[in-house]
Amino acid sequence: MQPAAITGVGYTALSHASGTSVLELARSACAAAIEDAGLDRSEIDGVASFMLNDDSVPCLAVATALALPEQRLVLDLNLGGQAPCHLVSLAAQAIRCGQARHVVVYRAMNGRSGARVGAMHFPGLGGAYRYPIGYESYLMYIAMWARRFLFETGQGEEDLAAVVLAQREYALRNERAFRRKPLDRDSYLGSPFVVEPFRGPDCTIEVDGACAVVVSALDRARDLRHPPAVIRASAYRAGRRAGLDIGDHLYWEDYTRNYTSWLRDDLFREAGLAPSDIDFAEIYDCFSSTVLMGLEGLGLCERGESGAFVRSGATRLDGALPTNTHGGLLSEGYLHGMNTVAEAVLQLQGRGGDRQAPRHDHGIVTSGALMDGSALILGRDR
Amino acid sequence: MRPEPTIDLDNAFYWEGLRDAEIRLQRCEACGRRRTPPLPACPDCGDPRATIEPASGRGRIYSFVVAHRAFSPAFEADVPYTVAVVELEEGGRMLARLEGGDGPPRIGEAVRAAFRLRGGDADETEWTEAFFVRAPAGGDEGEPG
Ligand SMILES: [Zn+2]
Repeated sequence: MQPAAITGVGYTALSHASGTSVLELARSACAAAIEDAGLDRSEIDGVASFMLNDDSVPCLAVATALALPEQRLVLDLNLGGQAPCHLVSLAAQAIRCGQARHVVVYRAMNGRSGARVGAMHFPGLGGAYRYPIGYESYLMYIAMWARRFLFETGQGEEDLAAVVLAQREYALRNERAFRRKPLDRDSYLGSPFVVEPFRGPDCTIEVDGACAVVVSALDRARDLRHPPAVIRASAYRAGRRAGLDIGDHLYWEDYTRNYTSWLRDDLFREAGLAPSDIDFAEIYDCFSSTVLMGLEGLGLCERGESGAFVRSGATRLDGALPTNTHGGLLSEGYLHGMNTVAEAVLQLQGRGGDRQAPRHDHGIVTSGALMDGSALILGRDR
Repeated sequence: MRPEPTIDLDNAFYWEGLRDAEIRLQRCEACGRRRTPPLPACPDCGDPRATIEPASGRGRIYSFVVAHRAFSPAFEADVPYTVAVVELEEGGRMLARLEGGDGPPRIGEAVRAAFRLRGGDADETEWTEAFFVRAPAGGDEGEPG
């Protein structure tokens, strides 16, 4: 079996109004990732992506616009932030089986000037119980879980604040980040609520842009430009009673535990590692609470102690577990977590610049916030 | 204009129940658990047989959010408004507007269902919304759930 590694990352500029088609954003980010890996486009034999409500373009359009050769693997998923690690995992599985050699995975969206995920109504049976009463944004669904999570774990607004402030500090070192103004505790607490318990800074910022990574066979990856980010483990998980559609959580039993709690054991077992072996973490953060829930769910800190963990400085660059080193989606912008994966790759490869984690042998990255999601453990080649 | 509920073969009994000011639950004939929203089989044991039963309308707040902005024009006049997940006494959870009471709602607080007509203008279908009402101050304070 041929192991797989991530070999390159690519981004477009992030903006409020790209003035560019989604196809061009996708093409441009994919071309940048292929170039970054040091591959020729003639070697790419797989493309994978995801979209919600037709807010992006299908993989074959991108393959056509990139002048790619014949494709052995094409994956278009109708999913949101659950998808990035999941697609990397599916690409890696195809590579292990010899069905593909190099797969480019992207997310492209005019997520600010075009269709905005934040207020999208999703097709599906759960909408009948949400939309007629004005329960109609992801912000509300995650806020509903956050309220219960904070209540049961004995945490509160100071713990949400800790995440926001720690990530904003990182953003000052990330030129790509949309929110780069320093933020202190008083300004956080003084920000008006959007949907309680979330204030403005608890929420990601919707942007136009695209991000892509290339997943490659490890034997070829070793000859390429950057050290390979080897995929040591991957997992997707939808817990039981996952609901009627991606916005429906009425059948989910425990709003204090998301998919990270369900996939943790399999993920670490496959990697042959323990949470204490992880050097840095990139946790999907459409909203601040998902970082707390992810840290606890993955066993990176004890239940109920994630806020204190962040406040202690543990997630800073000089802490035990640098976390969301790009400032997270909260600061960098909402490319639906594709950029969370790309940041993990940059860190693993030692390309983090001013925000490079000092130890970067093993990193963990997640995709998703509620009932289902995915995760990877990346490691350096030995 | 508020979005209307999509009524289908599986959930028609539920919406008809609300029209009669009653929350109707499915009780699994195999394991006895009650469920809502409507589902053609039990999510715990998979058995498709179910009896439809009225709920008391009493429940407790499992979680809630307060919207301080609207995400579509239909709800601008309602801001700020509260949406709760309410755990029904008989089992099953509902998503509903939460109204009344003094001070901020509390998780575990006892609430009871109420009903109101929506739509019904020339170009809108009439439907009934279930919402939950908090007890007034000095009433049932509830036990933390
Ligand atoms: Zn049953």
